Amino acid sequence: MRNPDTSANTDTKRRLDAFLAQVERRAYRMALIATRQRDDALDIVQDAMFKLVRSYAHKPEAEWTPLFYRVLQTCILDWSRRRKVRNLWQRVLGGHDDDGEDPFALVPDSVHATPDHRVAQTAAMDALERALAQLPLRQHQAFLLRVWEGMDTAQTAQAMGCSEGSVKTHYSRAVHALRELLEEHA
Amino acid sequence: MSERDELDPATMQRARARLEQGAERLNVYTVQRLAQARAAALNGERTPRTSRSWLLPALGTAVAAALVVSVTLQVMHKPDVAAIDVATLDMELLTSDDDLELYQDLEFYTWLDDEHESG
Repeated sequence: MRNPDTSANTDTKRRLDAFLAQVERRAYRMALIATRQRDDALDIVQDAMFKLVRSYAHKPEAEWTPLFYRVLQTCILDWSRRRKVRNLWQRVLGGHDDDGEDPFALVPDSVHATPDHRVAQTAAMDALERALAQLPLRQHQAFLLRVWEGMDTAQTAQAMGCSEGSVKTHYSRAVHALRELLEEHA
Repeated sequence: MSERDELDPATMQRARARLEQGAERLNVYTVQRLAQARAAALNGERTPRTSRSWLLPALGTAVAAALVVSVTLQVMHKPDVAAIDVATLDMELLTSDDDLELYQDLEFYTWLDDEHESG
């Protein structure tokens, strides 16, 4: 006879696996846009997954999405703070601030589109992601959570750990900065 | 919030599609790494970190902390010459065979000695 606790754990694990598989690619892209470093982005997503499973697996499944993005955004902010310290030490030690890796060059082309369409799609995607990467961290976080994840202002505020007013300000500034680019690639 | 602060639904949809393309086009290495990270997280483990960028701040912080501790200890344990002199004198008094009353009346004996020499 199966142990009920083991069965429940197995069921939770299966649902968590499905949930993480569903969000991991977006999470990675969000982290990549913020860090512009593939390895750093992978570490951030891994930390977010680990913390979600460790601390919030027992929560209702409906809460996993906002909790995961809250953890992810916190990990990205932590990375940003560590990068500032790292850059300071690199300046002290006479090194360079950034590695200069271009993560968007690592993205393979689609195999389903015609060459012209593929080039146009890739150009538009790259342009948007590059423009997002130029925005301040909080602005592009607000933009991605609102536009990509479809979160409303309250959910975005919860995920970012700030007030709804701050979310509106960050999002508004991001939209103003990106509007021309988004309309250009219509 | 003004109309210019929001994206119209069509533009938002287009932006979402662009972002989805990026997520769908991950290379094999990245997809494998994400799957490994997910499996490890579900088992309560972490896969080894790929980035080494955390090493420099950690090393720098460790060096700075060691310096602060070193300086603090040096300042805290700096020998106080006056205190050592007093302690040495106290020890000499306690270990001496002389009667302690002699030291209590030392000023008197010094005066007496001076008077004797001048007289």
